Amino acid sequence: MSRIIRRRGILRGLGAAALLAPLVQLFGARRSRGATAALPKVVFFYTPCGLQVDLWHPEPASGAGVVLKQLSAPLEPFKAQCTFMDGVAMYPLSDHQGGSRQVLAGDNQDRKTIDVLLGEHLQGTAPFGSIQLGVQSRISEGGQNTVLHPNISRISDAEWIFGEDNPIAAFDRIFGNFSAPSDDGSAALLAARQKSILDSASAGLLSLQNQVPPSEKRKLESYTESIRALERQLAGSGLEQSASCNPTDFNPTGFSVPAVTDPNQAAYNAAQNKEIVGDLQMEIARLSLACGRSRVVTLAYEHTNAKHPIAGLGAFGVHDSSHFTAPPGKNEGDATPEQMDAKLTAWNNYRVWYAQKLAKFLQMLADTPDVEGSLLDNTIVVHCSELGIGHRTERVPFVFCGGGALGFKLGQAFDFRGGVPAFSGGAHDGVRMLAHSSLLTAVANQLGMPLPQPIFGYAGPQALDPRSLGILV
Amino acid sequence: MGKQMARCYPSAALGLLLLLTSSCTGIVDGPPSGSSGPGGVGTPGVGSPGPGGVTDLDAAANCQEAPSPRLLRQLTREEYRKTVADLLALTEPDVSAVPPDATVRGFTNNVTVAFVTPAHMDAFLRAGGQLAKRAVQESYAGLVGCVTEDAACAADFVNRLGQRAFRRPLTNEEQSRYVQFFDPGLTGGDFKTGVALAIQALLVAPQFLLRSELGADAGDGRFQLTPYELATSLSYTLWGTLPDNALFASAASGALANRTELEAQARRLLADPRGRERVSSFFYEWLEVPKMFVASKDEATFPALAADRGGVRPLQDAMKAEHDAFVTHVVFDSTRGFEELFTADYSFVNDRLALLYGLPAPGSPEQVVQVPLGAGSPRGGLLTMGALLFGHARTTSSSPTQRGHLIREALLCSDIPPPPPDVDPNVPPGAAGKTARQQITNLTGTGVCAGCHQLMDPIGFGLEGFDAIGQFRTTDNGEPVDATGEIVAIATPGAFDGPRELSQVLAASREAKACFVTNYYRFARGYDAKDVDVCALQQLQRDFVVGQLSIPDLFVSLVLKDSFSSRRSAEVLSP
Repeated sequence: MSRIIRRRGILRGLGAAALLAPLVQLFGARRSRGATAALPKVVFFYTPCGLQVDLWHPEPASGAGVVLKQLSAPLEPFKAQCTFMDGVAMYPLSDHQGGSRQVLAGDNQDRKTIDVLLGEHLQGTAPFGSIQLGVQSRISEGGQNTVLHPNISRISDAEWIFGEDNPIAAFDRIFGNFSAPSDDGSAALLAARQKSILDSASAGLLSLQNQVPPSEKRKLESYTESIRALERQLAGSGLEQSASCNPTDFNPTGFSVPAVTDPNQAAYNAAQNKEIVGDLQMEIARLSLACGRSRVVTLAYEHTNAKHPIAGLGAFGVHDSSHFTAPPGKNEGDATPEQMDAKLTAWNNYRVWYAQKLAKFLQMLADTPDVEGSLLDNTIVVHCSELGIGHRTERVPFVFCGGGALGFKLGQAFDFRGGVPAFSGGAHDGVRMLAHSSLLTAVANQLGMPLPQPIFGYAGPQALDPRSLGILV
Repeated sequence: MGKQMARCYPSAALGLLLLLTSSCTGIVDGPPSGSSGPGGVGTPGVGSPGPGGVTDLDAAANCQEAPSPRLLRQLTREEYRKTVADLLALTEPDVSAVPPDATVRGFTNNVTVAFVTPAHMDAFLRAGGQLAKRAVQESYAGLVGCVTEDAACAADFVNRLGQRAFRRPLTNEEQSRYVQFFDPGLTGGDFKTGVALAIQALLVAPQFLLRSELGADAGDGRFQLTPYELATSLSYTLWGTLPDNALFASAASGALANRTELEAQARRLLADPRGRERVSSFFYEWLEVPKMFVASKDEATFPALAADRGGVRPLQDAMKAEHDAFVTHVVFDSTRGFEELFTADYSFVNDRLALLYGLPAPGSPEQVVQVPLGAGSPRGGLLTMGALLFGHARTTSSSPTQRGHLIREALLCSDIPPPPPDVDPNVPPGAAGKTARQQITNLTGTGVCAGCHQLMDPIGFGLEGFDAIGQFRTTDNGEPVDATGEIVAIATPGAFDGPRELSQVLAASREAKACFVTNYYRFARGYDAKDVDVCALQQLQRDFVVGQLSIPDLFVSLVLKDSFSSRRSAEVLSP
């Protein structure tokens, strides 16, 4: 994917949308949408490697009484629209990898993560269920093909969803059309070709159905579901017409991704492009919600083993800097006091930078009118990380922002430490912190998603009824 | 991170640790009682193997080979790349949009974790479109064998390309399905557009992306691979791509059903450059060589890496080239035996790698060339290569645990339970001891951690003469290196001194030889051996360990097994 998004291409896509109306009927009935009510939306905003918890979590308070700390200070303009939660732990695992595994799954079990489930629940007429975007979320020391950290979004343990790190490809996929072998035809012709190609794949699947043993059915089901997802995208090529949906303004600086043989060397993976890639991905997330492409977006800034430094903030990546007791560039060994100080400074710089990005994203949503109110009013933004204090999945920096119209009670700071029975055994023995599964459950409940169990994920004594927490209206 | 995590002390997470300890202790004491199947048919005194580990070689004579599971095998990204290159006669096709493969034990082709997710489907569709466009521009005349550009020409094209894409003749229904892409309603009357659309459609078809090992019903619940399925399994096992014309012809004529023909085809494929490349891919995945490309190293500690900045990795590239050249030399050009993999007195280096290894520069800046290592060299064989040492080490220091773990699991097929989740994988600051060996011994040599670590660390100690990037050293942090160690929980446990003796132990080990067979079985079949595979695996292990088969003969033996071509319906496989 190397082409620069051109206005002409976008316009062609939009033209296709208009011409596609009859085709839409081919893909089954579209659920009708409420005439005026804004649809609920959710964004999971992930930032890596935990933080210095006491420099982030505000003391319990509400309204103007909430006093943000050094690392959370960039969120000051949104203090009244966010609820900060200390004393939240993710059970039962407690390390980088375990945290990544658990953060959207509720625990360490093999299940579909909540962003995917919510995507299915909220999809309605949107062409995409959930959208997963990343900012250098796969690159590991130059090797994105060897995934050393669990993907936070999954269909199952065997079916991972790789966040799209290339904003140009992501935009192309979400707002453009499929790449057709010949693009000189009209939009309707292109759509007809794409439909024919997907139809032929479906026919191929159908002919296999009766040949495979039960043990292989899941492979065909997965394949079929994937084709259906593309068909929905094709059917949903029509962008919602509103002033807020303005994809033609995307990528004003013309960021491009020249072709390279090794994706590790791609422009979107370059350390110096982290800022612009992040900005573009946030814009894609905003546009996806504004244009009705999806109601659920997961945006991951980097990952648990993130390597690349951010210019001006530190000489080493966030993962290295989080190992602040080791010398620069190392995860082990004794740092001198000066070295430790430098690493902590860098780590805190990164944390402030991530908070700035979150604040920027919240502002983008706040500035985008929805059917009623703003996107921020109708979107619950869940900030999360795979770790909290130290190397542990405790005091994880969960923050709910926005979603005022969805029944979330905002402008508060909680500390849930001590409010639950102690966890017994394992990595969290003796820990008395609220299970983050309660928070994921709160999101599911408020967005009307039925759950097979009262709690999504870990359901031990540390998981409380979300209605008892004070985070909901 | 702040160092508040558990160490290997009895106070931390006691219940889980005791469980782990007892499971590793079980290995030390012998196989767990009552176990069965390939994961538990242990020779007395032999360590309890992982799934598909060392099996009972004596039982091979009396066992009955069973059909293996009916499968659909999704093309890996590498298989996809090679297949579209061959199918469409394209050089270096761009498949970077295709998501990476999930791996099991390093292998990218495990059927239990391969699914066409929405991201895959999107990528296959996009990549297919681009590849189709390229094919029309670059390979049109070769792909379309007619110039009339009429219906007959379209049908001929679809038949010929479709047969190679699906690796069998198309059914009438399929032929009609793909000929429809020449409908003027879709092409606007442009024949080349029809060609491109048909190609794109073929490239997203399940019959292309999922190669069939379903077989045809042979009664009694058994299925037999069709000649085309057999040819396909053969070519993907030995080449990683689709059959060539000669193999297709053998399938079409029915000749491939003949065992002599099957063996001749297997030997032909193996001897082909594609066969050599496939063999190096097997070793590459089995020995976790890709870790080398993602390992974090400290340039301040290792100035030799300074020139590797900017994402260019000439050192690792040279190590991979050494690895590839070495394994293919042993397997095809030298003794073709297992022992030489560990005992060779030569290797393949370029000037850059020679400098790292302390060898005279061979005068070859890029290509690796064969060089003698010289008497008394600490190097020789796979274990002492940068390709293994670099990726199995820490940022600044060696890791006896990582290296021992690789040898215990990948080379001896004994599984080690994962560490408790809150164990800090890093040696903490201020850990007692100066050398890596002293530090890890002080941390894990006693107490609850020792149960598992004794199975790994003392093996890894044998490679302590190599630092985190594979350079030879005699001191570690100012202290003399101690490279003595021992291997316990194998049939002939014993002590060794240094990497060459460690290599000798493995070269002579029945477990290591049997484990090599097990891993090739995993690679060839796309899953960990299950109960139904026990007999086939036992027989192959017996022939390789006792019967002294060469490595190429082992590879051929595997594809000649009845279980390679016969199938049965089976339960859902798990990783």
